Amino acid sequence: MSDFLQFLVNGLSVGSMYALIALGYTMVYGIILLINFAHGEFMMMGAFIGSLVIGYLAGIPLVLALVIAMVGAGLLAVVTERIAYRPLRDKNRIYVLTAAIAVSVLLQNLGRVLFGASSQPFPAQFPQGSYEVFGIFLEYAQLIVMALCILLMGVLWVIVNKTKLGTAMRATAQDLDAARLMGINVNFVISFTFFIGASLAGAVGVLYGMQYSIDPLMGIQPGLAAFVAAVLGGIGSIPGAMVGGLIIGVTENLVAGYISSTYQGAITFVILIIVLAVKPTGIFGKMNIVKV
Amino acid sequence: MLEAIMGFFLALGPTVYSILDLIGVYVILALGLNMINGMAGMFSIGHAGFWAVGSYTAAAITVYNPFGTPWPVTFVTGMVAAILFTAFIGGVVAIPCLRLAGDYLAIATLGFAMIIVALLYNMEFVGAATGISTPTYASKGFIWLMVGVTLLIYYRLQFSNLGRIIQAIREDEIAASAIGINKVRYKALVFVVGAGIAGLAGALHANSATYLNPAGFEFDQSIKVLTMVVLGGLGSITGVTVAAIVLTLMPEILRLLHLDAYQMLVFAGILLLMVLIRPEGVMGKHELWDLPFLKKYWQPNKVDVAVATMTGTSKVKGAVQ
Repeated sequence: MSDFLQFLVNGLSVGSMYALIALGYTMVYGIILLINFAHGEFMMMGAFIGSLVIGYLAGIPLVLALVIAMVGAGLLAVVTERIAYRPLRDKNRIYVLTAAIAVSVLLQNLGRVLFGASSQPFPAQFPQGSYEVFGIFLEYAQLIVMALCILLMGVLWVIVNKTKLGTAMRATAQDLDAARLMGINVNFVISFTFFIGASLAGAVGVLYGMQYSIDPLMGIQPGLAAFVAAVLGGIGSIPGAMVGGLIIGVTENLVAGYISSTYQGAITFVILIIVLAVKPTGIFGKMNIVKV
Repeated sequence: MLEAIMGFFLALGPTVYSILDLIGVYVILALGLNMINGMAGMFSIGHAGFWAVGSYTAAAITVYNPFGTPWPVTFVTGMVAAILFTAFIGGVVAIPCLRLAGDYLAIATLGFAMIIVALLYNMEFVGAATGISTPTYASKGFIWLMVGVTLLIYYRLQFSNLGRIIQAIREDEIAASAIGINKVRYKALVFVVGAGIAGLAGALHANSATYLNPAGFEFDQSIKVLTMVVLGGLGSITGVTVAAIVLTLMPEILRLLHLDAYQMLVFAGILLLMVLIRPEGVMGKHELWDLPFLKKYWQPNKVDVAVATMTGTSKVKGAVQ
């Protein structure tokens, strides 16, 4: 039983990071119906920006480094959208998806050229240690990660629901053309959505780095897991992404704990196939009737 | 300078010869994907998964030789088993995938490819992560004979009634359904045939590469094959063939220039530039014989081409059961 609870806690900690990445997928999909394959790479770039900032500006407060990494990842996403996605927006959706795949591989390999292919330690670590509650170890790192993720989700909720820009985002997601007719600068809203989504991913990159290590391919696995989380929760739905992230995180840890860690990645895709076969709209998704 | 260039081409010569096997395998693989992505207009991005199934099926049979047969028989058994089993897996993948449109289909195929590779990492009897050494039964001549056979099958299919039905579904699903085409059946058929062709490529690869490991079938391989199809032109037989040859040679050329670290960067760059500048590919839906200076030498049956270009709606009706 305490094993199970321990896996659950570990899963919730990883899952809250997946949830944060999944938010970026889901917001972008909600607005321009694009599966942004390169989203995991924004997380990787965030981690490397954070690492460089902490490495070169010794003594910089960690929170400031986190913010710089978030802004950096966000700006990278805005540039990516401008160069690679916007020219294809009105064309066949498959072309944009191909562009996103290409950007993803491009950024991974750019990372390898810029930062080297091998994995490297992150220059800052979480404080070591843990609380013991009922025989379960709650590591400081896990608690900080969960708290930060909840905080960032709260900030996102306020932006989406309480600000004018958030209203514009929701309007654009509902009907892009109608939003444009209402005088909303749709291009700016889309850029802003990319910025927000990628900055959340960038934050996760730093949190990830502080717990493990960083390498140019580090974005692939969490990126795919978060994508499945977004589909599971119902792509386009913000609460869905959060719930989906937690479910994927917990499932992965249970499979790794009880079966084998080599199946940890595969289980994510088994969930994906099951969701796509049974209920492609996910838990919270609305039924989209696609006219062909 | 001149000497350097001369030296480069001299060095390229043996390289080309030594990777002729691999070029053949990639041509077959790209043609199989072109059938799914180009001819049928579905978007699969997990083709390396099918390739892995074919490779490992053939490897398991040729390495263990379960019936104790002499090597040519074992090789052919392995190849046939690889084609059939991969086609079967293609059918299994098609069941959930065909209900999905566009990008969801792409993600589902990616998911299957990932699951297949994850399973291979856990299969002890084919070497798991360490990989497996395989015999080299497939000669260059045989591989290129199979390339020819695949090209012939593809060509015959493209200009047959069946091919026109498939292209009609690609162009307009509703119109195709309206004239009585069972689109799910034909889409599934394309998936099965495309996977079977990947199985053939796998069998040839397993018996020419001397060594297989799961890392050789990861997502970057699917990207490579996808780049070949997108570069050549979705749906163009000759365009994709030429693109597969060029893109298999490219890493070797980069290696000669000591730029091998940039290999995937170049692949991704080509894919991105193509989709931004000319998303239909260099050749589009045209073939080499459509080029002005080649036109006068050879043409497939003109009526066939005309009908196929009009996506076959005029001839299809008679063919639908």
